[in-house]
Amino acid sequence: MFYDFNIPYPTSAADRVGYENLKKILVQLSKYRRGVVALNHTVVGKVNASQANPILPVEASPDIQQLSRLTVVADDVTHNYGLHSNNPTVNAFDLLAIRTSNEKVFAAACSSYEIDIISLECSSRLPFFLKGSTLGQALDREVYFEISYAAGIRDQNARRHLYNNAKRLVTVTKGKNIIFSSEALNALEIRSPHDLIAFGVSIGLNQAKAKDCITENCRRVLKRSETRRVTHKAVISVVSDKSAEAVKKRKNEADNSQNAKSRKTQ
Amino acid sequence: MVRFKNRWVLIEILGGPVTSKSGEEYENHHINSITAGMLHNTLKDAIAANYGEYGLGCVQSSLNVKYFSNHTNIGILRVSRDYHQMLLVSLFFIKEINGSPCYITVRHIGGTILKAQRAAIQYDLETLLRRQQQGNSSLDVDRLSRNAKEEIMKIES
Repeated sequence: MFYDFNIPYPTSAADRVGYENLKKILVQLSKYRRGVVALNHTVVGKVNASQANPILPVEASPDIQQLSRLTVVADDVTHNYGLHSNNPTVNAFDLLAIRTSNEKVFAAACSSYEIDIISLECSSRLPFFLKGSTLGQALDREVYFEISYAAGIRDQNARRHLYNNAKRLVTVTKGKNIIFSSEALNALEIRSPHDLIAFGVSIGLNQAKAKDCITENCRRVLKRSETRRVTHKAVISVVSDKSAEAVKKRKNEADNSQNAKSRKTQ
Repeated sequence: MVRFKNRWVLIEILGGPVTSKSGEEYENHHINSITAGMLHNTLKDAIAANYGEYGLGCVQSSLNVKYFSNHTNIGILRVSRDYHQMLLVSLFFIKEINGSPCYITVRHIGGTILKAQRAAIQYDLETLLRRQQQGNSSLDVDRLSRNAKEEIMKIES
């Protein structure tokens, strides 16, 4: 399985070129076995409860599972961005991320916001230091940090900032809770999982941790977002009839096969 | 006495997706104009851009394009083992060769030449067959793959 959680979705429905590019990006991604892709919608400022999810699945190969993601750009800690599970807009997206250039918002995101991903602006210099104490809280809460590499491919200056930010992040988190994503604007900026591992090694991770950044960690992000959205206080979730039946059926089948086995041994 | 060790890197150069001749599906654009020399220059430029003169000096004597096929855009590179990470990172950030936008993926990395050769022959054949299927029916797959095989097996360290 291969994950890429940041593919920008065209902001206006009339953007034909954007859709064409998006399609090509998905074609490119579908070459690398089965993949899970999150189409990203960015909102600057408060998330209104009345907004609908604008992301529609794009026509692509069935190997690719498409999710939707909301990125909130937040720069003021006193502002209420509406990031809680009672907000229907937030719940309409599969993943919730925050991007900030303010240290206080960053600290609050690490310690208390109900989000899945903290996205670091990798194409410019981070205006604050990444502190162990702040990031430690995020690690405890299983919030993940995202490094997007496409800007670094596009531009030499951005590459320098990408390495600077990524290396700092890796040193402070000791390589834990990091995910790689592309944020690609065209298909040529997508890189294969193997090349991504080489990139991960170059920012100071080891092979296994670099691999986790595009597989295992991303799976955990999905699990986390599930507990945030579909459960009540992360304890109880209500399963619809259909899936309950499926579970029952599977259980019955398992029981039957076990019975058959035990009969054989008798 | 310690042997000088190399890494053999099998790469493939691909263009962006374009609509195929039949119109519906996408396929990767095949860039015809690349030569081994061009590739070598691009690699050196990329290493110089990412690692500067120091990086270039480290890999210059060992970096070599041992094989490159124009028909499939598959190539075998040799680089000293100590600095192969530099090459991989530079490959990651390459976005064009001689003005034509493309990207490079690493198909195989190994310490022995034989494994690289085998992988190269296999990928070569696969790519030729895929290209033939995608509407280049004039492609003489038999002859090309035989030639490629001979050429690949001729490589010596």
